[in-house]
Amino acid sequence: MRIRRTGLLLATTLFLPTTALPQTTRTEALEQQRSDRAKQLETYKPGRLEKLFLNADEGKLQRWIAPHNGFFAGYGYTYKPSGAGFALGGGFRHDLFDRRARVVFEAGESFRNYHMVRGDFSLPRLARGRLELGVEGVYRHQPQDDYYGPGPDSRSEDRVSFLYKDQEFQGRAIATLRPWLSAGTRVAHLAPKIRSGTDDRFPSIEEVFDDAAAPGLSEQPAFLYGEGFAEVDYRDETGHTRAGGHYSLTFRKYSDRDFDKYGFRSVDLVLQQYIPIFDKKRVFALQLAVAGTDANDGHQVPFYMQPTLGGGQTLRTSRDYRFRDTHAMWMNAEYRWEAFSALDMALFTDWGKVAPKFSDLDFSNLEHAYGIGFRVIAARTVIFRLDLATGSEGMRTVVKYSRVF
Amino acid sequence: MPRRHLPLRRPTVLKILLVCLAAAWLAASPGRAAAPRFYSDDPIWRDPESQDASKVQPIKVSDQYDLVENSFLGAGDKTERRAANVNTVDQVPDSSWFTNRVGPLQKGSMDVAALTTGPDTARGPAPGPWTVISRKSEGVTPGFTIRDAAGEIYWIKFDPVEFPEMASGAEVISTKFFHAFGYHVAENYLATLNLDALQIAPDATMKDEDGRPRKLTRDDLDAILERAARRPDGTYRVLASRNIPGRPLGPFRYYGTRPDDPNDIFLHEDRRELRGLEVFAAWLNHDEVRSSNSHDSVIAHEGRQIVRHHLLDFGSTLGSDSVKAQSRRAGNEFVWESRPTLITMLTLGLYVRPWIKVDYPDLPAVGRFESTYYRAENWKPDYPNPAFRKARADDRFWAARIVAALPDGAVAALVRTAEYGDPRVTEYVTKTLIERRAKVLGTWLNATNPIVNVALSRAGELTFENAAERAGVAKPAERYQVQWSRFDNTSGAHHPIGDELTVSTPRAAAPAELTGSSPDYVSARLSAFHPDQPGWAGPVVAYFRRADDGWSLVGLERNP
Repeated sequence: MRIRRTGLLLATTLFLPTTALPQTTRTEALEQQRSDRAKQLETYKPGRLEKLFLNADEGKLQRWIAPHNGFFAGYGYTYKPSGAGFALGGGFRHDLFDRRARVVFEAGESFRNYHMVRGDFSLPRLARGRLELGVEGVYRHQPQDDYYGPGPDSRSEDRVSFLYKDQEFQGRAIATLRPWLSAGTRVAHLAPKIRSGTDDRFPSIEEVFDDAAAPGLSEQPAFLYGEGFAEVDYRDETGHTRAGGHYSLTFRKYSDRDFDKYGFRSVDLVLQQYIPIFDKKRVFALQLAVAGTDANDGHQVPFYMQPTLGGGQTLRTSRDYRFRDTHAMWMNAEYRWEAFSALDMALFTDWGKVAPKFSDLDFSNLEHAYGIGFRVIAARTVIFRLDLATGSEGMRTVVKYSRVF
Repeated sequence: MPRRHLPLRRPTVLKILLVCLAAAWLAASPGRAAAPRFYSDDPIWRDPESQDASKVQPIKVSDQYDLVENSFLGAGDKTERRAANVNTVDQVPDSSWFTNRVGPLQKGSMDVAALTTGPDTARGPAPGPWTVISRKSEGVTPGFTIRDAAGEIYWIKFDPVEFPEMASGAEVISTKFFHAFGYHVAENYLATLNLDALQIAPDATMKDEDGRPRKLTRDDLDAILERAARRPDGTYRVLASRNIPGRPLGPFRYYGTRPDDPNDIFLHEDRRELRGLEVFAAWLNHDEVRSSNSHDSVIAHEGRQIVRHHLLDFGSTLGSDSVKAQSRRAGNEFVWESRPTLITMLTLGLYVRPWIKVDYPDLPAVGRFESTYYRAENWKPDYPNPAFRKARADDRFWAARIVAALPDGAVAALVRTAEYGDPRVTEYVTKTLIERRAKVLGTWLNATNPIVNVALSRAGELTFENAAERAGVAKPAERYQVQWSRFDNTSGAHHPIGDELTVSTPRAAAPAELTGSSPDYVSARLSAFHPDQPGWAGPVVAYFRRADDGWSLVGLERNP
């Protein structure tokens, strides 16, 4: 069958009069080539890989999975805490009233059975985009949070797990006074609950600790809190910062609505500075963060509301929430260099401690880590981070899908 | 392990027999004799795009795929060969890709006014109100589309706040240059946007975050204008780009052919004007010379429809990167290069690529453009370009001769079309272009034998010129060698006549036995020698055909 086809083809080629005539001019020769080609035209068909890229370029996949308006799904979810593990989220979101308002309904679930349900309504473009008002309701369920005991001397072998869940209803007003300056306030009702942890590898918290070592373990009040914050942000990019600074100060006052035993105030200060050299191809990134709480007279700060230290964002040789106390401080310094436009590397060091008193937040007995990191950048955002750290708590590998700071 | 030899199957043997038979028949057939080297109408000056291309369909090109394909998948043909679309005297005939405007084929003296007019057929948006009909959704530069008072449609683009006049200046200058080089480009005008004259069409739309059309509002325009450089009087200097005529087909690729275009018979990577484009792009620092910055459209031409090919979007040329100053990497390194990446990784960043440390002027309207560190031979676009990869010395020489045809005065005049407010900017850009041009010419006119303008008089005197010497980038050759031959146009055989001659000036007499007898074709193989220019040693072969009034140059091969 094949041989017959070949013979036919040859015969056709050899005896067709059209191509047998020699051309006497270059113009005729070229015209003949084009005439021959006109008989073999076909429509361009992109290959599979190209189709994939074309769809991605047009945002088809993004729009299908996570549209700005409509049902959406994605990796992770809002307020997903460190330690939740791999998680998926999704919901419905849509602009309303000619984009003057926006509504979001969202839920998320992790492989470690963390979940969250959230609704948010906002007016994000008031005062020509300079004022946002919004209300939000959230339910969080975190069944395997870790606790190691209070203070800087807690031992890693004392690790226990506990279930933290809460319901929060919040109202907010955020003003963008300048492109680099914003300030705002929040008022919220927060109702946390602590229950037995579900991480089989470790005891549940009540098996090891009592109220003295874990204030608020046996009873959890509802809180009303008010927050005020101010933020200066003149970073060149937020997802992959190479220059500028970011300073934020947040003050909160929590009042215990049930027992009059757990009222407190908190202050969080974060200072980040990015010093570029060589056209931002090398960057010294510095961060100083201080978190303090101050209980009302005769009151205590619940252990689950205390500042923590440890994990991929603060102290990279330690696990998430490794240290807790009423005060915490950490400092991070990174020397980052661009290997090429999609890969940054970094030498880093982390130093920090927790303490029961603010005056104890000195530079003695600091936990520390140092190491080397690799960061993959796409669309001006760090999308993957691998940090290899060693230090006061041994060696650890940190894999994250977000930047450090 | 012993290699296995598979026995031939009968059908395979039969097939081979048939093919041999056909080959023998083809060789013996007088009607199918090998084509002559030169046809009677050689050299041609217009590529006959004779087929109707009205059925060509639009295609899309993914910018990201283009990067991946060209950086990692090795797109395009890699066979080393001479450019396929040159005529027999090594020039590019006019076509839907290219029109000879300046350079060796320039007709008459340089018309600087015509160069500064460039592709413009109007004066930009007509006076009167501008009606916004949509927001620009492609590219990185903020902008929108308007209909002017005369009903013409223009794409309006702005300069970034920190770099007033930079992007618009670069775009206007480069439009004029690329048009002068011979490419088809859009009409780009500088214009002034007065907000009082701006109105939004009732049906104006833009794409929302999900790509769906939605009504365009004043807030949307304000968001664009917030990112635009504003003059002290409240107006905006804008670039108004006129809609390219014809049915849009999307971009062309720098390799392969468009499979539904009957006129597209040459691999794009084998087109000289695309190979030589590297030289122009390097001169003007057009690092984004890639598929997505091109545009094909179907136009009417001599009673049929053909595809015309354009270069688009020169916002990332000179010192501009459209919305910011040009990246330091631009022109110096591909987005991905393994060697410097690995060295940078392994040295913990202590190895700093040398281009990172280059100094640039403190002139915001310039951005990052310089001539000291620049080396024409080292220049690179953002990622590999299949046509540039195949460029040979003769392709670059061809382009360099066009560059050489633009004197200082023409360069200065083209820069002035940017209408920079600060004369220092005009002066700097002009000076930098002239300095870079010297490097382009010094590199590419000397990379091969620079003999040009070869002529044979009726009396048998051969004359020629040295393009490098003429451009002032080389001293005269110490000597030239000439080997004369009879040329058999049917077989392509050269029959040398006499010994190789050595002359010290670009002039040599043909042997009387050659010109006095009656060959239809003669050839002269010319070499040039200078101890500083090793690239000259390769020969140029010139072919002459006997004509009524003497001899006419019918062929020229550089790098044969």
